[in-house]
Amino acid sequence: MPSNINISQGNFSFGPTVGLFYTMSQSLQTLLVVEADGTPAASFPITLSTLRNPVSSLKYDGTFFWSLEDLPSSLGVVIKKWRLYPFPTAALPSVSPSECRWQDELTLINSVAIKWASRAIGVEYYKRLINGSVARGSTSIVLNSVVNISIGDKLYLGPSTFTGFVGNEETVTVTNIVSNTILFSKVGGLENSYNISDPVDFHKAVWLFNDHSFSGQEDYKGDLVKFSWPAKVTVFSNQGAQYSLVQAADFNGTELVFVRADQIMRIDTATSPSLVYSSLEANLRESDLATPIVVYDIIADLVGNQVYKLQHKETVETINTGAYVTSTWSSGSVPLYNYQIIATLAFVNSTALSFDTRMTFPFVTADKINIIGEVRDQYNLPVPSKTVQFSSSLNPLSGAGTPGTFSPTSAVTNASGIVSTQYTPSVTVAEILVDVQAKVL
Amino acid sequence: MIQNVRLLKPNMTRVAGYFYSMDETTDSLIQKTDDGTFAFSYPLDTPISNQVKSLEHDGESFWSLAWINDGNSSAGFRIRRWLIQNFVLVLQQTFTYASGATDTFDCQSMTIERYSSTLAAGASSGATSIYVNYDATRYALITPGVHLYLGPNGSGAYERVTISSPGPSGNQLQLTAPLTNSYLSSQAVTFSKNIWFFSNNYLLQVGVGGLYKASVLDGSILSRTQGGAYTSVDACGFTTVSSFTGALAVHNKPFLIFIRTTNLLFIDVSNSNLVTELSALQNNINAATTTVYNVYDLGIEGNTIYRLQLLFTINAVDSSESTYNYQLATFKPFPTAIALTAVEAILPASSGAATSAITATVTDQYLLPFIHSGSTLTYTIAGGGTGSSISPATAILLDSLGQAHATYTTGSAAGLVTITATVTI
Repeated sequence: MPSNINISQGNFSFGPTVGLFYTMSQSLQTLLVVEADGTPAASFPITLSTLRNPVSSLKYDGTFFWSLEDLPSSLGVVIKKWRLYPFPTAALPSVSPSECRWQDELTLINSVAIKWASRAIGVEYYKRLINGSVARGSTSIVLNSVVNISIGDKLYLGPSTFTGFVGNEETVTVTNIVSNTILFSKVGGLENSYNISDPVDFHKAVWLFNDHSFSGQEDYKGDLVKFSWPAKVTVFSNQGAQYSLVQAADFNGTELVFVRADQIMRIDTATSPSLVYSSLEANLRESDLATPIVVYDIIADLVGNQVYKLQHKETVETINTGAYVTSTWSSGSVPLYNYQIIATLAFVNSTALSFDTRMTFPFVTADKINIIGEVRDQYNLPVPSKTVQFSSSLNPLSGAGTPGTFSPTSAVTNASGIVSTQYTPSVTVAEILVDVQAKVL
Repeated sequence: MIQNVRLLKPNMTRVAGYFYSMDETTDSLIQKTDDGTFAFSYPLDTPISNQVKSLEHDGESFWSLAWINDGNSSAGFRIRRWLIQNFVLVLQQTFTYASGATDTFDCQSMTIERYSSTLAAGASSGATSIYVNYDATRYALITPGVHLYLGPNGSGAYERVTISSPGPSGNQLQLTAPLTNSYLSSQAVTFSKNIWFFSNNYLLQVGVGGLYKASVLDGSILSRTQGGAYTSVDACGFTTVSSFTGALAVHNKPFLIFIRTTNLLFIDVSNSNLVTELSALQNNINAATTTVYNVYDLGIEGNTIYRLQLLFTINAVDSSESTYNYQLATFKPFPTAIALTAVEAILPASSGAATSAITATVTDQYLLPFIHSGSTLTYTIAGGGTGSSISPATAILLDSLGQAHATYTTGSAAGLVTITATVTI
């Protein structure tokens, strides 16, 4: 399988420029930008802070980058907030960023109450649109939605597309909300004018998957912790080992998406933050179908019905043969990381066969074998209306002989994803081993 | 190579066409198909730091057995009950069996005594009693406090109910709370009664073997039975056998089954003496028949047994795998041995002057006569010179004892005469 972004860090995110991928390098102390084929596009040295360990998770909320790294000496973890700087404003238009500047951080130091061990965060952010153009100097804006916006929140407006202000950004602090109108207090009002559909971003919290619970021990009982931002206080916590050993996470829409063992799981933070409401099998085993593949970071694009998984290895199924092939990427001794996309739309993922017996006597004196096939998608849900074709062949370890026949040879899955057929053994009287295959057409 | 389910851990159970295995490294329950394809996995809500030695599914819950300390089998073990809830395997109960003043446990195999049946009549939401189709023996096991698991109904719903009392009708059960869902007659019902586990030790006696029975409700030990047959048991299961016909049909009933060296042994737990009622030969042995392969766990589906192994011999070819895979066996009787007798066995070399009565007895894996309509046996001979013959020389139908009789007549040459019997099903 061809590689794509070929980055040498186990973290990545989208960024301000659509189509480019961003990754943070501790060795270079730089935010690197690459095209989808790995071609370097830009780099921004980090300033006002230093990465003391490799970044294990990198997120972008439309305005800021967020990184997660271990503290030195296994003291805990630190979440840092960054912004490309400078960015165009009314006071300083026509500039382009030259650095990745530290903005804020949350340091989580091991204590008697909890040990911190995490590789996955999700930044709860929301994107809104300006609903009607608004002129410079205004002290209010109308948005397409004010859901999740609270008084005191900071809204990040722009880049503007309004002529004369193109590319400019600014920040306002909400003082009141009336219907879909946001009121704010700012000397002189808005610095820029904005067109309808210009973006407005804001972030509310950071969700962190900790391997350990609030026991003060390295207990691997897991905890999902939500820190409000900018207050940086714990506003939600839910214990469960399903939150331990989480490899990667992201926030998209209102959903927290995370990788746990073989699964990509989803929590709708708006409705039931304590409940996993969706889980899909994410193709995370090598071609031996046993060895796990690690996901280092993810980008959840739920609108696009896909999740980008950053991996050092990937397994793909060869079309026609069905053979699995695992690729590993490196440059010399340096491991490289590429993304593998997995669709969130349902597709056939497994076909299981049940037999009332798997040993029968030869034709004439034989019992026939009743076979039930069950087709499921990556969510482990039944897949209806799929044609399943049955076939048999001699196992390589079998002696000589002839496999039997099926009736019917193909069938269509019912609403429960079920098909059934009956196998009639052949007249071969010698002991033979037969492989039965159910192929979803 | 024997590669099918390809599990990394030595535990497995089979449910509705899928294999499940619990992985303490990732704290998850994985779900795979026959060829090892990953279908799904469920993270555990509670971490397990020790390797699961035995995994069972009782129709409702998963049950796991793991030692308290992976490095010390005699420290004791834990049996846990789990349920899948919202894509997570949620711990329901933990029973800890720590070695102490009464027992020194050394166990790595357990199973759940469970019984499946159907509703004898429809039951509507709000009903406080149900009617079931269990036979009298099994019905008698449904005592107050027993949990029954109903479903699925037509809407795919399940529910767990608790029995307050049996009766008053012979197949009626009173519930502690009204039904949440409605069910039709013939829809499924199941219940679990006891946990059975095998220990290398009995009470404090090391290495003598013990079979323990414990309550599924609270884990309390209900009985202990000593027996050398219960040592070194790494795989067991509980199933209702239905593969026997004719005179053997008396064995169609529930059994506690376990692998002991190369035998699958059957205990009828309704017999208070826990008599081993059947024994089925298994082929977990190398081609040279010098090494017995360990069986780590069992999966059961219909009359098929899935033995989880690392080492295999198929068609006299030995192989080993780095992952755990299954080898098939069956409850269904099939011929495994032919015993030949010749009376007389030594005859003078005089053509046509002497005869010997030849009897072949075909037995199945249970060492019972193989009886299958239309099955025949054919004799062939080598040696003996002119006149050496067997009659009949054509295929002979096996009789009700699994036997075929023939007469050998001597030939002119002195020497070894080899008679070969081949059974055709």
